Amino acid sequence: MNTEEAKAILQSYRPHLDDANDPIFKEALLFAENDKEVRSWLEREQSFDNIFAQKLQGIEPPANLKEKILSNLPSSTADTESEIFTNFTKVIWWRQPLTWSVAACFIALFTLGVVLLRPREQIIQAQPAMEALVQAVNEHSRTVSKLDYQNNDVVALQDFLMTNNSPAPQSLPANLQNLNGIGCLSFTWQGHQLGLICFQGDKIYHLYVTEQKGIPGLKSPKYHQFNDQSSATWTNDDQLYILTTEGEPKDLASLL
Amino acid sequence: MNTPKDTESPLEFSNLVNTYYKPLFRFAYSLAGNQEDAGDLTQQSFYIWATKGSSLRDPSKVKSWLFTTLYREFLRVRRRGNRMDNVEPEILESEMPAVTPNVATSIDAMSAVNALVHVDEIYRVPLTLFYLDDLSYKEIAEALDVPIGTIMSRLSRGKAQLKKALLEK
Repeated sequence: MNTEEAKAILQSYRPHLDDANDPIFKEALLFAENDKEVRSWLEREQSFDNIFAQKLQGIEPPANLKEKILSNLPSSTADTESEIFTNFTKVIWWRQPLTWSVAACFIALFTLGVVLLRPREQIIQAQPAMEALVQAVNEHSRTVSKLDYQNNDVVALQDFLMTNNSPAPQSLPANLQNLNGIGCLSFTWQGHQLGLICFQGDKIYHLYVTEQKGIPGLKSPKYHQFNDQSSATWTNDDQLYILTTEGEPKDLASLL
Repeated sequence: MNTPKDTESPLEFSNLVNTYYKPLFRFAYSLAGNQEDAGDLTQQSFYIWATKGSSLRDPSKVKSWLFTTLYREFLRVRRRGNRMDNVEPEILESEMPAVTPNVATSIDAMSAVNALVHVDEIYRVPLTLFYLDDLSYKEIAEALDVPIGTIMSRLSRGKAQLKKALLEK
C-alpha cells in the first residue's frame, strides 16, 4: 500500500461507526500510524468530516413534517397501523398453509384476469417495440465508430452521460462494473433517447440504457442471438438495459 | 400483559417515523435542494413503506430500504419531468483541494446543503449518506446498488467537489 492508496481508502473512514474493525480500513490505518504525512492528513480530514457532518445533521425538518407523515397514511392502513407494522413480531403469517392457499388462489385469479382482460393491442405493441429496439441496438453495436467521450473509468462515463442529460445506467451488475470502460455515446433512435457505455473485457461489450416507458418489466435478463451477435435485456428502476457483444448469450450471462 | 399491538415494536410506523424522518428529510434536502420537495419526498417514502414495507422480511434492512426508496422516488419524479435539481454539475475535479477544517466551521447548515448541491449528483448521494452517519459504507453501497469500491471512489470525488465548492463560496 502506498500513500495515495491509503488516502483513497481512509476518505471513507468514520471511526465512530466501528469502521476500525473493518479489514478494508485496518491496513490503511496501520499505514497511517507509521506515516507522518498520512497521519496528519487523516487528522485534518476527520476534523473536516466531523464539522461538516455536524452541520448537515443540524438541518431541521419543518415543524409539522412528522404530523403530516403520520396523517398521510393510506386510509386502510391508518386504521390497522399496529397490525401492519408489527408483522415481524407477530405470528409468522406467511408460514400459515391457509394463507398460502388463499394467496395462491388470488394470484391465479389475478394472473388470469390480467391475461384475459389486458388489451390485446397493448401486448402486441409492447413486444415488437422492445424487439425492434433490441434488434436496432444490436445493429448499432456492430457499427459504433464514434464516441462522445472516452475514458477507462466507468464512473466518469456514467457521470458524462448524466451531465449531458442522457439516460445513464443507475446501477450496473458488479461484474460489468469491474471492467474497464472505453467510452460513451448519447443518441436517439425513433424517439428513444439512449445512452451507451462500451466496456473492455475479454471482448468488447456495449451497454445501452433507455427509459423503460411502457415496456414490460424484465427482472431477469432475456437473451437474444442475432447471427454472431448476442444481447441480454433487462429492466431495473424504470430503465431498460440492453447489453450486447459478439458471441453467444453465455458470454453475457457470466457478467450478469 | 403486552399484546403485539401494545408492544412498542421498533417497526411500528410511529417509531419508524420518529427514528428516521429527520435523516431522511436531510437526505431528501440534499437531493432536491429545497424544503418543500424534501418534505414531499420524505412523506412519500413513508407512504410507500405503509403500502409495501410490510413485505420486507428482514427488519435489519428497514433503514436501507427507506433510504433506497427515497432515492428511487427522487429519480422517478425527476424522470417524469418534474426536475427537482436544477444545479449545473461541476466539471469532474479529481484533485483534492487543500481545505482546512476552518472552512467547514465557518458555514451554517444551509450553507452546507448549498455546497453539497454543487457536487455532481452521482457523488452527492453517497457523500450525503456518508455525512448523515446513518448507514455504514456497505449499507450505502447496498442502498445505491453499486459495488463497495465504487462507493469509495465516489466519496473521494464527492469530497473533492465539496471542498472546491466550499472554497469558492
